[in-house]
Amino acid sequence: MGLRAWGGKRAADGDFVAFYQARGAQLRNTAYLLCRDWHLAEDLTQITFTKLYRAWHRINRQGSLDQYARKVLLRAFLDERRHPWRRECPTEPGSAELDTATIDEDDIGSRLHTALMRLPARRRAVLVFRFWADMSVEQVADAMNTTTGTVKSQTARGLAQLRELLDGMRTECDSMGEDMR
Amino acid sequence: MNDVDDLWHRILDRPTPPMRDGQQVLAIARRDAKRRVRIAATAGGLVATAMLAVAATAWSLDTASVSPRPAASRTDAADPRPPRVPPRQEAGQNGARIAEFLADALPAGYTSRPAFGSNGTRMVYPSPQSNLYTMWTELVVSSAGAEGRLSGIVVNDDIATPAGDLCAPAVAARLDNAHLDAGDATCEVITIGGVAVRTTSAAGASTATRFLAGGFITISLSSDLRSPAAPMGSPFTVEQLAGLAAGLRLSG
Repeated sequence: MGLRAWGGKRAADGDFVAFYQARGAQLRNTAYLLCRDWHLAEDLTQITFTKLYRAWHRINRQGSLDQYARKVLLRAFLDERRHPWRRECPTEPGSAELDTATIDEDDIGSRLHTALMRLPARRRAVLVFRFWADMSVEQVADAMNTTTGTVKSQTARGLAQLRELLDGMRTECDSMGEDMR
Repeated sequence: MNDVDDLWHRILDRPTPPMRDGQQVLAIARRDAKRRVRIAATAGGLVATAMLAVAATAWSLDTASVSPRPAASRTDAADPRPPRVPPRQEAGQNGARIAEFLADALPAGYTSRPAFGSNGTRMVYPSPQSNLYTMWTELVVSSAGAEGRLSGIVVNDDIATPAGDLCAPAVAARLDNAHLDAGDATCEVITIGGVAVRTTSAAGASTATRFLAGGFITISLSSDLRSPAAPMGSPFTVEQLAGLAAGLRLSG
């Protein structure tokens, strides 16, 4: 009995490592999109896999494993932000001179991420999980402990706000270019 | 929708730092799982201990009220390791228990009713700045038209258990400070089942005090001087009063 249990544990550990190798990078990218900090993204990924390890024997189907992992990551991100040392100081768009000054007109990725980071955390999470992680409205609502209506409204507002921010940043870059000429 | 899809790929279209190795992630997850098992085991042990303690307390309360009182002996010896006086949060609950304990201990021919409202308990002198308190519960005892007062008092004064003679002036001063000692009473220490109890006897009043760590319990019996009837015959001898103080178990 003991040998069988030990053997089962070894096999489960092998499956766990295989799952990390298959999905770890994707989850870490998701975490990075949420927080724009590779160190924190690494921590959030580790938290996710640590919790996943504890629940490993309860989850056996690949589909539910993916969904469970994304749900854990989302909750870890939202929980992490509640810690006092993680609280962000919100700034009005355009008020951080350093941000606009360091925007490279060619680095579209940097500009996009800056705009994304200006969204409130939960709204940002809704966008990332809906459109990057391909989670359904129902799945996001379940993971965030909220209603589907809230997820839909947060999605619409998030996209509208992101569009406004990107338009504003484009205007800033244009005016900076004119000043330099 | 396509714009949004494009957004993610543009953000992530840059070199990324190396990831942790799978074995590293597994080792951290395993360590965390082991730590949680240890914490759960410790918490389970504490809960089991607490449940056993509660069961033991309930059992001792039951047995204290029904079992014959142990033989008394005169001695100066104090308890080697007395229990801690209960915290203030437990005072009300202990007051109700003491009232019930004292009422059950009354011999035939005596009846009792709460002196302070329906539950017979009240707290006096609670210190707002600390955990110190005095809990006082009192019964009006009646027999053949005469009345007396039987009280149970728990004091948390955060003073260490007296080391030497319980009838020493320092101990009397401590009780006097809590308004629980009469200067002209006769003091005697009676040991009941290994528990030293300080007793005092005066005209119409007697007390039995058992010291705890950081406080004491006093059982006090007095004739009600306000009673229009004749003074009540005492339901307890001093030894029996000491037995009540020694047998009382408090929660907390």
